[in-house]
Amino acid sequence: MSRLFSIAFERVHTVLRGAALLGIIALPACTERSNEPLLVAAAASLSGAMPDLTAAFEAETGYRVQMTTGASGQLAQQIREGAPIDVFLSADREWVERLSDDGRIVPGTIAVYARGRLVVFQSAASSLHMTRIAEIANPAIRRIAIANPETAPYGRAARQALETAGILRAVEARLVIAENVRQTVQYVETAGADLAFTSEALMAEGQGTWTEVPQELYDPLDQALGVVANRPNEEMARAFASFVLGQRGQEILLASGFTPPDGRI
Amino acid sequence: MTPRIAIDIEKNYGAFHLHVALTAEPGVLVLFGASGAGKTTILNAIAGLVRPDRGTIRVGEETWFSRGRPEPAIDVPARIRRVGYVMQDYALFPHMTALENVRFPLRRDPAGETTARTLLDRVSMGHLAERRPAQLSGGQQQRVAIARALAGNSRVLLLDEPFGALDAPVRERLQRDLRLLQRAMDLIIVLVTHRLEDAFAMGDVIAVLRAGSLEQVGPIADVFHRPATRGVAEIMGIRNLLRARVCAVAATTTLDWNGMTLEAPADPGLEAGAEVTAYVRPDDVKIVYPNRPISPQVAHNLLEATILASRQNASVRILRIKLPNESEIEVRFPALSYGEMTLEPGETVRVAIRREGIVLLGHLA
Amino acid sequence: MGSALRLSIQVTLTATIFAAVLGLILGRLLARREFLGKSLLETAVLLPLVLPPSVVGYYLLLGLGERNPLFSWTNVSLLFTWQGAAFASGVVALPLMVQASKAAIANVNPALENAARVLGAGEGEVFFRITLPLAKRGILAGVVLAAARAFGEFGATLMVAGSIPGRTQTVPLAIYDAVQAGRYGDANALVLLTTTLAFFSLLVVRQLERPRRPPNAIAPGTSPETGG
Repeated sequence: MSRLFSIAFERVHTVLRGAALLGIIALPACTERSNEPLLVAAAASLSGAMPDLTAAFEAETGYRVQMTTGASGQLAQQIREGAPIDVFLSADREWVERLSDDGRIVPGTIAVYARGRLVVFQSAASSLHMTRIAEIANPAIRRIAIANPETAPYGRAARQALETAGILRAVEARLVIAENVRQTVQYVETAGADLAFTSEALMAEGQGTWTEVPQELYDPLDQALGVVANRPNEEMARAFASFVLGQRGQEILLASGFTPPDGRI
Repeated sequence: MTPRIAIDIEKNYGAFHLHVALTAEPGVLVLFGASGAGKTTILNAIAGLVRPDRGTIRVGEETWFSRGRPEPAIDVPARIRRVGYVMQDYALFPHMTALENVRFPLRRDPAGETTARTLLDRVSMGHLAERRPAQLSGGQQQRVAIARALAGNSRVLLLDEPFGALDAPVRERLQRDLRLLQRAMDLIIVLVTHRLEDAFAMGDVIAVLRAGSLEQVGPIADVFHRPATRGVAEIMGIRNLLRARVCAVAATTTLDWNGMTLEAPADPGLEAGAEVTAYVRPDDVKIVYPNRPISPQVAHNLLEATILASRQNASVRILRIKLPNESEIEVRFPALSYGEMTLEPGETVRVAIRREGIVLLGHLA
Repeated sequence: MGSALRLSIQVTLTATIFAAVLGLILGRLLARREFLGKSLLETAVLLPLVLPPSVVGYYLLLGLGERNPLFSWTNVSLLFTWQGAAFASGVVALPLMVQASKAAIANVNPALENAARVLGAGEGEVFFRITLPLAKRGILAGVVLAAARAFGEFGATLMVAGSIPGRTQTVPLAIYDAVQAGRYGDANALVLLTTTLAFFSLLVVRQLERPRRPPNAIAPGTSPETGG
């Protein structure tokens, strides 16, 4: 029996050696075909809107879209490192413009597709009823979740709002840093944070109450997109960008909780 | 090819230095010595498993190993030398049956299985061919190992302590079979052992090794009777060596040692009138208390003796005594024994030589 | 969820084959040979076991990024691909395989290998007919451990391949993503699956590492043959 095993192993060994060599050579070069689905990197605030956007786009054009989400800064970093992303939907302008400076964005494709709104989110079980930002300084609030200001535009905006309101120093020690705005919601729902600074566009899914943060406390979140350069699917990518900027796309974004690019309600 | 092994090798292992020069003809060469003397290293060098630092190994017309000479070095790999080698503990492959083990050197041979079965039959293991080593006794494993070593059809057979774990009847049978095999196939057998009885039972030529060098080489009877040095005699553990004639063979063997009668253990291989070499184990010579009854288990060979010399260390006392036939033998016992007796040189004592303490070493050539 | 499972199977299979083959080679080398730099090699191989996954991921990024020679030669980058994820998983699984194979092979009596050599076997035959069959239980245990480790790899994979659903988001990454997004149903299902797999893997490993009872063993000395 073990002799059979040894003989079988000898054969398998030879086959495997060949297969391993083949495997290394064959891919990933093979995946660069132009009928591959489009890969769209979307800021976390678009988590609610993206499924609708991609479904509508696919229905209209027949092109398949895959998506990946995260903090805008993280996505930008991945693009810089060569991730196979075709379109980048950031939560601000800066990240897209920085990539463009590095030559990673097709010139002329940068456009603001929506304006995001910062909100404060509490869980349904919370007994706090907040109406004013200054109330955040209340010592009863022990943990405040914000997205990482270094990589998430909403996190940066949240920090700015706290500073402008004059309570940053008071609450700084109670800030809990999440990876992105979607995770801040999760921190409130299951991880024991009392409040989260997050995007209005994520409130359709959240279970709790939310309040808008007054616009004058932070710089507007002009969320911009760009088509990534040197990708085989540039045509499709442009089509997707146009779709997002077009009527149907804008309708979906509005319905999700974004406001139109110039801020008009 | 003239069958003959010529070795002249040196090897250093840290503090241990091995240097031997030997030849082995068809027949049995015994490598004799205590453990650590380098015997297994020599076998491994012949087999090609160990590379000496310097020297040559020639088998027949071929040079298997050469190093340290002006000519280019040679080291024929073990798998090409293909000597027959029965290692200590046999090294049978535990995941194969006896048959598969013996078949292993013949695996490319289409007639391999038949040859393997024939070999197993030859060592009387044919009926146990399908068993795994774990299911065989020590003696059976030994025989499978021998069959496997012979399967490669080499003229050279190396055996490392082959009789260690076996009881007397099994051992004797194996020794007989090996001698028959050697004659039938004109093998060169190199056998390693540290037991005198095995050396004598199997060997034609003996090479005595100590700490990596040869003390003496020669036909076995010669070395026994004329150990070149005290060292050789000590290594072989020979004390009280004697030559006697067999008077009668019955339930015991009656010997005539220079006119004195000795009762030795029965040996069916002996005939009355034959000359034998034997020795008396110093530990089996007992002093008899003058006033006490003697236990029947030791009351053999009761003799009067005179103490010639006495020496002692912390644990052991050694007496040199003279027996009625004017021969001298050594007696050993724990230092604290015989406390009431003085046992000084010059004294007369009665001794009992235990029958089993007389070891018969076989016939003279 | 289905794509995460499919990706995980793809990645784990590839990583395990890589770790198994390379691990076996290294295990044998470390078990049987002495050479200059041996302990250095052994330590280097074991590093991923002890280093934080983010450190391993960092080294992999350096090695696989666009500045490495392999890229300029073939214009192929493993970053953000499932092959990259497989490579990362393979690297962290390798030490487990090496340790297990090394121990299993070292346990095989070298006298048996020597006996095979004297009986005419070349090194390849010695390995495949003697060493491997006798070491196979320990080696198999190593493969299972390596597979389990490869399946669960998170940190290094994240850094090297990202968490792109459908392309590189393996089960562990999918779980993280699901929790982040509040999709607890998905998270629960995947967590249950992963836990069950891990549990059974460990059971298998335990079985393999237990000493075997010899089949139908007859005690030596009790054979029916006279004169034994």
